[in-house]
Amino acid sequence: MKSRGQVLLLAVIILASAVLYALSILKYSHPRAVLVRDYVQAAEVVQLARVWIKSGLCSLCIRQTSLLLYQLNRTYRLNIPALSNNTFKDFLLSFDYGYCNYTVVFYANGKTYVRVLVYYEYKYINSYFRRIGAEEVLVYNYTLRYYHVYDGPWGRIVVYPQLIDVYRNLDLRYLGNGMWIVGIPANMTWRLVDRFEIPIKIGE
Amino acid sequence: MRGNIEAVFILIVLAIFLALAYQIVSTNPSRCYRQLDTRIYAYLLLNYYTFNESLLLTYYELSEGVVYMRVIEYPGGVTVFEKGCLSNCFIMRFVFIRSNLNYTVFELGVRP
Repeated sequence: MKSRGQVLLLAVIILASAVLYALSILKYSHPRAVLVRDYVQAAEVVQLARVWIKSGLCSLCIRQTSLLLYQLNRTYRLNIPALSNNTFKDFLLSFDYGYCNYTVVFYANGKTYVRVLVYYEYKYINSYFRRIGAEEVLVYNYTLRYYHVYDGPWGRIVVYPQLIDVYRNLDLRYLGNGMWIVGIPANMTWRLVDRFEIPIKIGE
Repeated sequence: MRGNIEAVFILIVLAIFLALAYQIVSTNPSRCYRQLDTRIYAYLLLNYYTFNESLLLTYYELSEGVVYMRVIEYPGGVTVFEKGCLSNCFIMRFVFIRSNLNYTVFELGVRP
C-alpha cells in the first residue's frame, strides 16, 4: 500500500510537470508584435491633403492621388480607414492685402478624422529701392503670416513651415510664430513656396 | 522518521510546483508582446518633406523596438536607407505621397 502511494505520487509529479511544460509552450512559443498605427495613418492622410493643396485643390490631382493611396493601402496593408472628404478654398488676393484659406476635412465612419488648414495673410507695408547688379529695383515690402493647422487623433498641431524663395529674388526674413517680412522686387519673376511645395501668392 | 522526511520532500516539491505554476499561468501575458510605437514617425511625416540619411538614422535610433528600417523612393523603387536585420521581423509599412507618381515607402521591422 505504501509503495502504491509512492508510485501514485510519482505519477502526479510527472503529470504536473507535463502540464506545466505544455502551458509554458502554449504561452510563450507564439510571441506577437503589436503594431500601433494610430497617428501614422492620420499623418499619411495629412500629407495627402497637403498634396491636394499644393495643386490648388485640382480635381484631377485629388482623384489620382486618392487612387494611389487606395492602391498603396491595399498593397501594403496600411489600414487606413475608408474616408470621405470635403475641400474648401477661400481667397482674396489684391495688391495691398490678401489672404488664402485652404481647408481639407477627412471623415471616417461619419466623424471628422483629420482636418488640415493652410492659411496665409499678407499686408503691404511700404516700398524701397534695392540695388541688383547695375540697376536700382523697386521692392514692395509685405508682412506675411503663414501657418498650417492639423487636427487629428493627436489633437491640434500648429506648424509654421519654412518658406523657400525658389529664384532667390526676394528679401525674405522670418520674425517668429509664422510671421515673415517679404520684399518683392517689381517686374521680376519670383516664386515663394513652403517646405511642402505649397505656393504662396502675394500682391497679385 | 522516514515518514517525516517524505512529508518534507512532498512539501518542497509542492512549493516548487506552485512557484512554477504562478510564473507560467498567473503572470501577465502582455510581456510576450512587443509593442511598436509608431507615433514618433507620425511626427516625421507631419514635419518633413524630404528624408535624408542622417534624419532617418536619428529616427531609427530614437525609436524603441525597431530593429529594421528601409526607405524606398518611387518612382524607381530605389532604396535610399536601410538599417538593421530583417530576419524574424514583423513588418509595418507606411507611405508619404508627394504626387501621383512620386512617393516614399517606409518599412519598419519589429522583432517579438
